[in-house]
Amino acid sequence: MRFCRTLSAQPAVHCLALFIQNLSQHRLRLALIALLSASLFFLAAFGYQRREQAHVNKASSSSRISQLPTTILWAWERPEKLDFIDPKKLGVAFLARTIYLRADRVVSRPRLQPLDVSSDTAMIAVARIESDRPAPPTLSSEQSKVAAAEIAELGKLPNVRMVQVDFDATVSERAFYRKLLTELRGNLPPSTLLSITALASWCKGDNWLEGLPIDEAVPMLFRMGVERKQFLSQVAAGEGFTSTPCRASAGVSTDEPLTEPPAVQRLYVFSPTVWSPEAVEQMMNSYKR
Amino acid sequence: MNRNLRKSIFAIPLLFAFFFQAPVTFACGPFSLDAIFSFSVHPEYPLEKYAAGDIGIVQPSYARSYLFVAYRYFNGDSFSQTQQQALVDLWHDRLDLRWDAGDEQAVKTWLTARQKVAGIGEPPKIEVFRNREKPNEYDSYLNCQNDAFETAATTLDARIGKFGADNAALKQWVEAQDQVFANCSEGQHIPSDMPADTDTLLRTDRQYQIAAANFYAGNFPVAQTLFESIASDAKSPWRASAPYLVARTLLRKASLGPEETKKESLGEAEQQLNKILTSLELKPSHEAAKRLLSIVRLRLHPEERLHELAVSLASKSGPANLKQDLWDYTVLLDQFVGDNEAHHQKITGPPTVLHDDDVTDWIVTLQAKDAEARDHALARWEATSSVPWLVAALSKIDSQNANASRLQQAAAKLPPSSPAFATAAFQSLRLDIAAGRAADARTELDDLLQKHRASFNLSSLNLLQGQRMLVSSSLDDFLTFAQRVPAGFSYNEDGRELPADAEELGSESKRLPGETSFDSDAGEILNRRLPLELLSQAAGNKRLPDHLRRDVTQATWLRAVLLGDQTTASALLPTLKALVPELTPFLNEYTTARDPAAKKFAAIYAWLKFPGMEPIVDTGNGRGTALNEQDSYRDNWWCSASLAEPVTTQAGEKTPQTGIPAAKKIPIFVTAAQRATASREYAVLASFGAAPNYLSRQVIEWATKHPTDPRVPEALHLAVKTTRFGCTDKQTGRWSKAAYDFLHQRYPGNTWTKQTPYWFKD
Repeated sequence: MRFCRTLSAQPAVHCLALFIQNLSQHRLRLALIALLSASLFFLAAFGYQRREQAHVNKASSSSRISQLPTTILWAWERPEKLDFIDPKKLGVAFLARTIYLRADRVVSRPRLQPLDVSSDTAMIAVARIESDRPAPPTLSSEQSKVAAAEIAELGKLPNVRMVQVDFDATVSERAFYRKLLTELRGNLPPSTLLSITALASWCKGDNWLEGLPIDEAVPMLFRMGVERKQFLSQVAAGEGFTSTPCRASAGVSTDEPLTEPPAVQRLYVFSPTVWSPEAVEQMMNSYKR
Repeated sequence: MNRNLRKSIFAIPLLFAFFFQAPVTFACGPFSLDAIFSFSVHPEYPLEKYAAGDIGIVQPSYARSYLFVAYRYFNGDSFSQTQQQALVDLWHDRLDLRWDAGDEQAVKTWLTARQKVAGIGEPPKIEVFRNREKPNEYDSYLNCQNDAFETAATTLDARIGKFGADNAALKQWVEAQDQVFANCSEGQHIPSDMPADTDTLLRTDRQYQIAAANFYAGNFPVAQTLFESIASDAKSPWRASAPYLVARTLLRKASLGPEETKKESLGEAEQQLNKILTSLELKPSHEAAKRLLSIVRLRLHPEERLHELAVSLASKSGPANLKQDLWDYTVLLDQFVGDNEAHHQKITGPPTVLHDDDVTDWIVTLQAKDAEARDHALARWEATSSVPWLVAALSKIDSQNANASRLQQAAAKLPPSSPAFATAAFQSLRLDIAAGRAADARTELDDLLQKHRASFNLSSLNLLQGQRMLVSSSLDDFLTFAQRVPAGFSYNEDGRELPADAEELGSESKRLPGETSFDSDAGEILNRRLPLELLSQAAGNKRLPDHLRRDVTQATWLRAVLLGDQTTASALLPTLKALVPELTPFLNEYTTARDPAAKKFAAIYAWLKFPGMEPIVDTGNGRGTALNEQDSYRDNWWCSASLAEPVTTQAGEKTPQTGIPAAKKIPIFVTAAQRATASREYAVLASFGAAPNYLSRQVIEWATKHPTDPRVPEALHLAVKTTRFGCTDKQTGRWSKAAYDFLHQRYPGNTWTKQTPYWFKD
């Protein structure tokens, strides 16, 4: 029997062929050929299946997200009665949990305010992550793990089709949030979509969102701080966001009207006051939804 | 386990308050450190000073708890030291989002006590919030409060003392208690009854545990019956507290049970609590029962309760529990008139409730913005001649109002020691300015600022200085009052105006406290109302500290260049070189350039290298990045949006100088001709559009005519860069490509060409 050393110019498959040729017993040779063929077949089939699965997952994710209503009302931490909305036109993204990252701890507070919706309303559960100021978070692996697990629980709430994470991340905190989102994606049921809210700058001229395991990022076109002038003039000029996850949606607020509503597939609308039928109607008219 | 009634009295109202009072915040950003010249949603920090009567200029936009305090001081009332502390505690609870919900410490106390018992297993995980059931499955409630864990720990210690830590029965006690707390977050975990021959104490404890388990599991009728039974059990150590727990069960049933039985349950709870309060035997529960009764009444008779609280809060000595009563009062007011500014337009409460009590009437009227509120304030002042109504009426009228003069005379009679002095003076001066009595206002403001400057907090001082700036008689005068020291700095990501602590200020911001800067009103005048001629004078004016003069000078020089005014631009060069020495080599090129076109390109080249230069004077903290460095947030060159009329409103923007016509917001020393020139100049600047487009065009034009100028390849490279890092519009991509193509086609192989691998579409 000759020994084959796998060199870079000599593929492993060729080595295996030489090995088989050197087997003295014909039957054993046949058995090994059969085994090898079967393995190759399985490997190929499995690889194909995985590629297919990835394709199907991507397709089904985009198909599931496109099934969401085109306008989503943010229902923040206050009593909201939204049982009057037309579930075909409007969905509800409700603040379901606030996660406080405090030193090395994760303090989690669920929604304490009542929310009335009809049973056929598409629901998006929002988790807001706050970094404590007096006790800044350590942003440890354990913290991202615990926070991800807390947020993943929201996927179990009735009618929740998507979980949305609302957070502010400085450049140095991005690694932490990337890890958290990856863990969260792993914890959520595959059928639950994952969304994040995003600074406008993350969606334009900044590519850190690319590659995150998310189905969408919602650029927030309100409370924009120092970016406001720049991005509003771009939105008014009809420019879109360049980062892939940001292209289909945008977030606006009723108290910061835009001259031109952003041309997006899905518009999230925040209201600093309680939603009423009149406020919803007015919003739908002003954003031409 | 809930024997510690004294501790529980705060937890329940707090929970109730959360149902109505949780802050609605949605932070986006990124957030720059804002300079706050006058606080608008709460007074300036430290809040202790406001609680002690340093009221300053009251803004109607303050949260109502602050207006209540102003009302009392305006009325000549005050607060004791304890009451002042209670006020500060309330404000910090709200502003700092302190919540006593699910404090881990209480759970830890119980788990530590639990470990004292031998032979018990690992402590179970305890979650204090429980999700509600259909149709309220999206919200939760704080099911197990701190006092429950503390009482369990205390009771366990007492039982260990009696039976010993290794007693088998005690182990069962702990296991049953574990079951009780398992209900905190989910399910039905009810301990089983104990045999009749068990020790009486342990048996009665178990009955209490079963009742508590049913309470936490949401079986309110069962829990009620069991607590009633314990109340009548003479042998139970829980007998005295059980009647109170019956009331708590009824209140919980009202909160979480069906809507149709809510009133009935509240009525029963009220009845039960009144019964406790008439029983001498249950005296230890009286304080807790009173507290619970006030919550029940808050919900059952909100109008009546609002009235009671208003009476109590406005009484001379104030209520015994100021913090809780003021909390409840403002929560109720929020219910009636809304929890934010939107309420100004729609008052939902019955008018009688809102106007029956003077304090409520005053707060609601001061915050309302309609003519009806103005007339009401005037009528109340006529009827009462009180200071609070004088302030309300003054704040609401305009200078044309027939009562303006009388109100101003009344305001002038207030002594400087009056807590309303600053507010009344500010409002009276506003009327003078609006009426065009600039000279009178100037004299009065000078007198005020000279005699009483030290008594005003920074927010008030800045508001008065803002008025003084409007009536400036000269540019010197204007520059003196245009610059102000911010009252605080805040990231203000959610509108709470929380001042940043010293340690929160980055190294680049450490210099800011105490340094003057321009507020938006001064920026508006500098950028839109002053012509180049006056700006140029301002650049040389030593009344401005160097950091402000540097900004004014660079903006004016650039304006002069862009407007083609070489005389002004050249005249500014020595000042600019002195203030921005790093610009000197580029300014020398400007000086030596032979013709206007060459001078302009020298300026454009300098500007390309110094992205922090812009023809706009900064307000607030300004641009933090060095003048010759790119700003990460694209605050480079200029944003055309800075030059356009504002098209949107940023939430939180406040205009305390309301009622002053726009024409009166331009200082009188600016002549009509200068105003017209300023408008024309501004229109020219605004017509340039986005800076990257303008800069690219200028560079390409120069490069076309002067292809051998050695600066051209670098200028083209920088022009492409502006389209990446500047404020862009939909034309920018075209200009980016044009500059890129020019560079690559005309200068292949040039080092700047190699450094320009892309152009930028948007």
